[in-house]
Amino acid sequence: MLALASLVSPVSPARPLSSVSRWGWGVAFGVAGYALNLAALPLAFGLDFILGGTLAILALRLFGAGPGILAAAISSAATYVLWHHPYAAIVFTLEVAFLAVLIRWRNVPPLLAAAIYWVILGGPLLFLTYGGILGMDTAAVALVAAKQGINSLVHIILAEIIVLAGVMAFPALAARLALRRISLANLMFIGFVAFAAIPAITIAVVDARQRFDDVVVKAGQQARNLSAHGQSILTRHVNDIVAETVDIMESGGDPSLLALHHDLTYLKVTDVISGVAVESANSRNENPADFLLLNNVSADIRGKRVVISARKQLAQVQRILDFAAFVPGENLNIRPASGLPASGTSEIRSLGGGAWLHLPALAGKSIMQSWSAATVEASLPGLDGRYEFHVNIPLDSRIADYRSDTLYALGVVLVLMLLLPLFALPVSRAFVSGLETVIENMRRYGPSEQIAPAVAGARSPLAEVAMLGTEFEKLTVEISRRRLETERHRSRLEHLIHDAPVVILVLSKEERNTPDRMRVVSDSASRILGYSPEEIRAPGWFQNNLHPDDAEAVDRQRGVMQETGKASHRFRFRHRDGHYLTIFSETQVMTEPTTGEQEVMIVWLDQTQQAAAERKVVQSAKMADLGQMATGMAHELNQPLNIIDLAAANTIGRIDRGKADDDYVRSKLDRIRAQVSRATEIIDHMRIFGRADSGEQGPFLVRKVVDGLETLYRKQVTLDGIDFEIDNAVPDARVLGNPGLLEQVLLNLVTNARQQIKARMADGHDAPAAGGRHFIRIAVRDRRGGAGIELSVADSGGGVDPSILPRIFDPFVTSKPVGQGTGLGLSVAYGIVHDMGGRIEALSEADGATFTVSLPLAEPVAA
Amino acid sequence: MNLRVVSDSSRSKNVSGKVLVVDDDAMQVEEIVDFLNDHDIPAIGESNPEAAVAIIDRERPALLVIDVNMPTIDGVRVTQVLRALNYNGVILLISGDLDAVRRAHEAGPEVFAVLTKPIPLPALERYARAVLARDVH
Repeated sequence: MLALASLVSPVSPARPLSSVSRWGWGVAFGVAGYALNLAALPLAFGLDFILGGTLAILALRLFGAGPGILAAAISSAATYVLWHHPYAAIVFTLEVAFLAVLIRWRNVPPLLAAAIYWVILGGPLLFLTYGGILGMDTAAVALVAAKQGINSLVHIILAEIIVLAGVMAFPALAARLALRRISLANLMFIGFVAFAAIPAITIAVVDARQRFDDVVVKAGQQARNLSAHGQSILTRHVNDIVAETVDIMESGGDPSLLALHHDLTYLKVTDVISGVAVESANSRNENPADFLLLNNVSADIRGKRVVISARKQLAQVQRILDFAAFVPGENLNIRPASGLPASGTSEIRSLGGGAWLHLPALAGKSIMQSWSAATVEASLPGLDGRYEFHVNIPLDSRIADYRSDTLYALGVVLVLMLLLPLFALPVSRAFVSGLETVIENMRRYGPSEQIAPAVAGARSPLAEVAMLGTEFEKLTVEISRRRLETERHRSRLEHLIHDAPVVILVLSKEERNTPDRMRVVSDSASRILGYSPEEIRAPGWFQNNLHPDDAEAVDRQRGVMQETGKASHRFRFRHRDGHYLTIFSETQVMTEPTTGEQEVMIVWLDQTQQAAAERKVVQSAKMADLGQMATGMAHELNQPLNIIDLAAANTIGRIDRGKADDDYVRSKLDRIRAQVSRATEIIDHMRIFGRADSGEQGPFLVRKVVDGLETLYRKQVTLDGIDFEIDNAVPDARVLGNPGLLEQVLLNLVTNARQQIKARMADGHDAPAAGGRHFIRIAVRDRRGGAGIELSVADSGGGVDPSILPRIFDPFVTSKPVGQGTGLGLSVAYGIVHDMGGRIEALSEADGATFTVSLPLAEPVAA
Repeated sequence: MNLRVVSDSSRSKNVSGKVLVVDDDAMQVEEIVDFLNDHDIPAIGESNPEAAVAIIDRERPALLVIDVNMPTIDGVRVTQVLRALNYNGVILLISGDLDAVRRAHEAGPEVFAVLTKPIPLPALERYARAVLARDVH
């Protein structure tokens, strides 16, 4: 019942009618219905088709339950006038009340509600009142019930058609009346029912009227014909008497015989000229009340004009008529002439031509006619002016036939009307199911909340079209809202990509060296790097502007990216104005969600300033380490200066004593020069170590770094009583980076080791080894089959404090006394090693610590 | 710098009138020996501390000028060894840093004097003459 029950969707009524107005309209519709009911359409035999109920149903639909029931009560009051009993009014008013409840309670369609009412309440009530109280026979009540049922359904169909037409024509008014929208299904349903039911009802009504005419008019005709028949029989009888009288009189016979023969009570033949009269023997007994068969009828007897008069007893005349009339029960009677129908308690209707319909009142209830006892009467003047022929035909059997036929016809119509919904329902539902699916889908995929005013729908009185309009409009608004939102998101994302302080590039993973390869170039690329997007997209742009020293490292990272799907590294890249930027690059392979294409997302962060800052940190850490070496360095420098001083003093002394020969002086000057070279060498190393990192990258020999450190440090460490051992197993190993930075790492490790050992020595700890000497051991080892090296610094300093070990590479973590360490050295070393693509690990044991730096080789060492 | 020659009566007199210069730097040894010889002070030199112990034992120099900071052996340690060998000459320590001077003093009475680098040559000459004169007389 979905289509029927929810035929319509509620629409907020615009300026609804006031309560007073609604009741006022209810009264007005009731009065109009009353008038319409009085103009009843008589069907037959007391059945009237009345249409006033339509207005009551309309009032119910338009103004609500109260006004509707009031209109029903007012309009149905007319039936009392029509039918002289209150039961029709009661049953109809009850029907409207029933409809009001069902419509309001369950939104049951009125037609269905009426059908239910007539089956369960209306029909039984009629039998109770018409049959029980009024005493109508069952067949009559059944007929009345069928008629009433159909009449009621007609009310509703008409009212529904008027409502639908009105809503279609005046949707604004419909809104004021709080009428619901019409569903297409409802329209179809009513259309179907009306299309089939109205012709059927019309035919049934016309047929019933026709049958009524057939029965009553034919009966009247028959009555008249029978009367005429009696007339002609009696006329023939009279003619026979005249002829026989003439015959007897001519033969000189006695007219008394004739009178006897024809049961005449009186016969008199009078000669017009002579005035001689011959009378029958019984003429003396003439009874003036007897039927005057012949009243001075002229005839010729042997040339003499005579007039004949004859009388017969009424009973004898009636006998002749009885004998002549063959239809039993349809008595042809002779009776005293009145020219009027028989009077009595019957209602008499003239059928014309001297025929009347007699409707006797129901026993004890003068207002009701008993159609079962109805008769048709006709009379014609009798030959004796005082009498007339009269025919009275009872209609009982004919009406019984009529009733059964009409009941059958109305029954068929009723059944048809009840069955129609069963057909109309699925058809109308099928008709709108497509639309309902569309609406349902729109609701499902449309916006979840009311986001648009339902203006589009308000214009259409058709519910589905209105819903479709509303949902479509909502959907449209939602789509445009989402489009705006998407646009905003897109613009925001674009903003993010293009205005971010990073360069974002997205490349196709497959395509190579085509301008199309670069799928996304953020605007920030031009801002940060100085190149136009076209220049950036040009093939070879990256290779051409990459710092040559970094090409190898970049290549290696590219390999890592291919292998693992991601890579991060740092390189120098030429800005369009020529200077190099330090770029930190994060690269990740992604799958484009819509096309499934493999893409490479590259994010570049300009770390030029940070790199400079880092170099400063490295430099200060290095300076700190150099500061730690300063004492040793001073000693180192002191030695050659001492020798220079001694050699110079000795030479001056010789010269003063006049003993300085050229060879002596030369040898001393050579010595001085040698010592100057020695000092210069030390200073040079210090300068090399102390120089600021330029950021230059490239492959370099690890051995050079180790050797440089040895030159600088061996003497000092040795003087501290510490063995300084170097064990380089891969003297040709080259790594990629800045040699100064690796020097810094090594210097830091060795400095730490030396300090650790010295602190230990100061605390009175002997070396752990059997030899009894402390040591610092630098080892370079092959790693991963030639792919990398391990540069380790091991010492006998007693290991790292376990509480510090996990954080040893964090900044500002130090085990040294305040003022002796910045805590930056190892964290700087960690950063340097990481930047070189390597890692640094600390291993601590009771005897000492080993720091191992693992670095990838710039090129693999031949095994 | 003023150096006092401390008289020690317990010291044996059986030392030769020579100065022995020990430093791991051969050129330094050579220059100091040259200087002392140029000033008529008999001096010999040795750059190997281990060899120097043997020479001292053999030559018994009246004055031993020895560097504190040597890679293989500490000068202070050498003095202790020499005392163990009953060497009773005068020991003059030469050091480049004050830390070594401190350690030398802590080492005990075997050390008579400490000179810091660069070596003040006139002071060395005066000290050597004073030691040799005392031992000769």
